[in-house]
Amino acid sequence: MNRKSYSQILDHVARDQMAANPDLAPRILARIQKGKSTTMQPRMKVFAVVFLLLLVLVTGLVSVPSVRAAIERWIGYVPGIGLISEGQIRLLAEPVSVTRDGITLTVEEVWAASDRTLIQVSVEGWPWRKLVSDSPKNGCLDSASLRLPDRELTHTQPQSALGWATGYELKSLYPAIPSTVDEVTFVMPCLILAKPGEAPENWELSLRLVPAAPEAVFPVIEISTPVVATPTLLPPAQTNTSLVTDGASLALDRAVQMDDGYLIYATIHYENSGLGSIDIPLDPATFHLLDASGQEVAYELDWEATNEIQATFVPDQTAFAIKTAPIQIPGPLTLVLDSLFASLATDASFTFDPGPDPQPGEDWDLGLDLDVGNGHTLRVARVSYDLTDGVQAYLRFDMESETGVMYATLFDKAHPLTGMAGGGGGGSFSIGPFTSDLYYNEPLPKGPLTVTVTSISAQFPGHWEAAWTPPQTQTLSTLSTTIRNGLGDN
Amino acid sequence: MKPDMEDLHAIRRLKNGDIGGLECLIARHQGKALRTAFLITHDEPTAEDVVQDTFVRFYQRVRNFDDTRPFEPYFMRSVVNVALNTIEREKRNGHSLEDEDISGVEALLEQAASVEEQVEFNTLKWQISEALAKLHPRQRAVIVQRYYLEMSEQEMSAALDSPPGTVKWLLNAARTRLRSLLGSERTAE
Repeated sequence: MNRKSYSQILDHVARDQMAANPDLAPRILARIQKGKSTTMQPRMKVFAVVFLLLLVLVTGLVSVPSVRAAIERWIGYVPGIGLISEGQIRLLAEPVSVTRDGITLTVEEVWAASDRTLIQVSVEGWPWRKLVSDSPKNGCLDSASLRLPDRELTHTQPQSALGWATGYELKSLYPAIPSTVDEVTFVMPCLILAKPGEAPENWELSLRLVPAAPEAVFPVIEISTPVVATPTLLPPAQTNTSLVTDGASLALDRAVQMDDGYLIYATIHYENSGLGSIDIPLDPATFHLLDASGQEVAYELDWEATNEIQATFVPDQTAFAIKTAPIQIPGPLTLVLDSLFASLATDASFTFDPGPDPQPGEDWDLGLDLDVGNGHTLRVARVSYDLTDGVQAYLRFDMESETGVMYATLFDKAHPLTGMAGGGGGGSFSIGPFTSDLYYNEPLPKGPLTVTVTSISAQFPGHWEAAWTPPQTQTLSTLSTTIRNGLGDN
Repeated sequence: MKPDMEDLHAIRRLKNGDIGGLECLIARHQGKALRTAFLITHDEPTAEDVVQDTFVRFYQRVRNFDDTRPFEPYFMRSVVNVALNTIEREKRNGHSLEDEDISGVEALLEQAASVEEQVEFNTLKWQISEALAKLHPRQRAVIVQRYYLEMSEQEMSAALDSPPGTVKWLLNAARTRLRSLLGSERTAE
């Protein structure tokens, strides 16, 4: 057995002494939810991945035909609903609630556009999380609908969700409500995961829509800046990644003038590259926004806008939106990207033999150097074998790379796997040692195992930039043209 | 050390109002945070409370968090401090540092590091746990920071808000204490 670090030993000591491996998320989120009215911003609405996945996966993908794909021009941006193409926005006149058997259903907000309707509802007093592990197959997963005078809008698509111990909040997408209809009924057949008779059913709430104030809609400026992609710099050392990044480019699509800065939509195109996917750029060290004087402008990724545009998958494009700080210096804004975090398919493999009787806790020094192609190498330093919960066995591969590989996906083609995971070290998306796991049902397969590296994620250096001049510094004629274009009048 | 990109991604989501970012951080760090808190508090429910408190506090202050710095070291330091504050607040330990007959887990750790046999390793793990339990929480925190979280003495000094000399003294004290505990248990055997 190899020498263990003190950290590993103390980790074992703690694991041995602790009876459970609890998930604290429900309790933490419940505590936050309790203090939400005082601590959360109004837009702290949510994306509880587990809950959303539960809804999407279990109910199936009930879907409204994508609205984004069908629309090419936007005239406005409304916080809460996103980009809109035409017509009047209407909002819920006031939140509407009903309480039955201690459970309160509230329709908190409605955004009714000419092409879609978004509704945000919350339920308080229903401990749904306790029911998740209790076979959700038997519980209600029916969607709510909107009853109009002449028909019912039944197709919904969860947009975001937040769950806490005693309730949940859902934002769902519905088809458009005709502009002639100002009063609709929200109909919810049952509470999520409730079994028949377990909780009040057939909830109905009357909703009244009123026109939104004009200032609720921010103007959109379509940016006609052509895609600018300066030549890719050669990455360090001997890699030839320029071959795959040459085809990548950066474009600015549109901007929204908000009260305190701009919301800028951008897209990385990689249709003609050899890359499998490109991450949204998040590393402030390699992703900059510069003003006309070359000074950095503060920005942050706007997840609400990014999630909206990413709802429609477009192959070989990574779209995102950033919210800038107020722009102080007149002149062009330049978005500069100095590297891409991307994945690349590979097909390298290696073999190691855990021996005839591998034991949990055992590890092996491999020291294997692997050429994974495209100039990248991986060093598989070590493999360790352990059990997760007495049911699954896992092999953890400690790896590092001198060519900037940050993560590798592994696969064992010869044996059934129960899962794969990765991370550790400096993290799966930062340069440094990292780990990748293969999960098997106990016992671990005997004999030599051939492990295939099916993809790598790496930082691909280069230089991409795209510039746009905000309208306040454009000439009047350019400005009016820009705004007209943005409004789709030409 | 550069920030982990997945953490950075999650923190930016959270700063932008997406609570899913917090769920990601919880999923990624609750295990190690719980073990850190448990090694200090030696009480599982208290450790769970400590980690919950630390995440809630982080959530409340996330807008002030400098996300160019790595999250995990920052968060684990917070867990240690919340654990210590919790213990002190609950007054579960009445004695002072000066009263301790200090000694070291280090010897046990050193033995466990190179032991070959699983049975012997299991015995040593139990002895380490017992020895840790007999330390003052502040000494346990020092052991956890130095040997579990692998912080430097300088980092520990900053984290504990104690001068480097105090940290060295605490470390020496913890080592001596554990060594003596080990010695007495071995003698008893």
